[in-house]
Amino acid sequence: MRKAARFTAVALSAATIALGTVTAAHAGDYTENGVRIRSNSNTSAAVLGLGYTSHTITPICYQAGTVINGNKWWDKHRNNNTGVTGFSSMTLLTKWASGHC
Amino acid sequence: MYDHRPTTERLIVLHARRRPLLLTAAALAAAAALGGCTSEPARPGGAAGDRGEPAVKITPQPDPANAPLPLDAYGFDTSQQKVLQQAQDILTEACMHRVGFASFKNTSTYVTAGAGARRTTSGIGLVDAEAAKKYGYRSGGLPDREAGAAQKRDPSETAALFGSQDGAPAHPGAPEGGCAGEAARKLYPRSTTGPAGAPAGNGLVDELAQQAADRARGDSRVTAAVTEWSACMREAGFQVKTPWELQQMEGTRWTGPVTSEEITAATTDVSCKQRTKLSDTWTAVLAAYQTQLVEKRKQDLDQEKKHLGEQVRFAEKVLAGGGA
Repeated sequence: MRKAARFTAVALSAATIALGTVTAAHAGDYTENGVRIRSNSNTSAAVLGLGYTSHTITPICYQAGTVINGNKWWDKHRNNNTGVTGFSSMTLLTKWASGHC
Repeated sequence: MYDHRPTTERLIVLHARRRPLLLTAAALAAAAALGGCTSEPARPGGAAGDRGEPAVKITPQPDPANAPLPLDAYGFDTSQQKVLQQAQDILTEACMHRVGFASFKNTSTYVTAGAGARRTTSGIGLVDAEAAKKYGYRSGGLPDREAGAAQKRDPSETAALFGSQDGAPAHPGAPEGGCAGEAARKLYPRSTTGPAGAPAGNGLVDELAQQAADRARGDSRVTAAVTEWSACMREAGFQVKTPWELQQMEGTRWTGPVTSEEITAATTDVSCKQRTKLSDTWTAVLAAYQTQLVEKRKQDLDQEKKHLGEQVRFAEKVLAGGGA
């Protein structure tokens, strides 16, 4: 079963992406709960804080980083609720910066 | 960071390391590590209440990614969020004009998802059949940053707007954190109760949403449905134990252009969640745990909601011209 073997191998190798945990129809700027806010635009950068679907953000700028869901762009932003500033994959946000870092 | 409990990222690593174990045993170990569930062995398909689990009625959800949940009532709704954003624009612009950027418009600094944008994932990953067919595991409807030349903001304006960035000097006369920081502090004041530095607004809602999800992941009805989903995936040629393992995979597995293999994986995933009723079971169980937590913490939630109301009233005052 070639396809199954490939699928499993990838599952074991993946380890450090930010991912959501909960569905809730809150009207915030993160698509998921527990979105990691990192010190830089890659999945090995330090986690500075977490974003929740109830939180809003102030986008600052964007730059390239680790590809998440086929997308390389990460947004530097300030979490309005926690005051933490850092990067998250743009795939986990619903508001994005218009200017490049 | 204000949340020191184990995260889902850690939970998934636990699953991966214990792959030879039965799913129920792995889920149980994870639940025990989270400290939120019983250590009694999980019984897939066990009756409600036999492990202290809440009774649930599993009903078909037409849009499981956007199904209403009990804690939603304690957060901002979309119209309130719009009021807050408009107030933030006004406060930021007033400050920027004050420090010398007379033509500054805050709306030029960000873009938002279109009116038709909707969530396609839930706590068990992708659940939207249409999105799976169209985008695979990718997020649809994002701004295209490859088109056209990248905008670069004037460093002086950036310093005034966001404060000192990456060691660059601060703009003379700009407040700490720039004008955006000042606006956010006015609209999202720090909590005056609870731990120092507690987030403004929905700290308790966030905490309870996380707790409910942690409990739902260890619930016997969910673990039984996950086992069925895994079998359904295996029948289609995809060997994966849990949606969370797959969700983790989504981020790094699919990096190039969307392929037919990805579309097949995504549509099979969603179809198996529908066939095994995992989507509906997850929603029902999560809602039941949220209801339990809401009942337990209603007084605190009502208090938090009152504070959110105060934030919205301040924002409305700004919109009416009286708060800047």
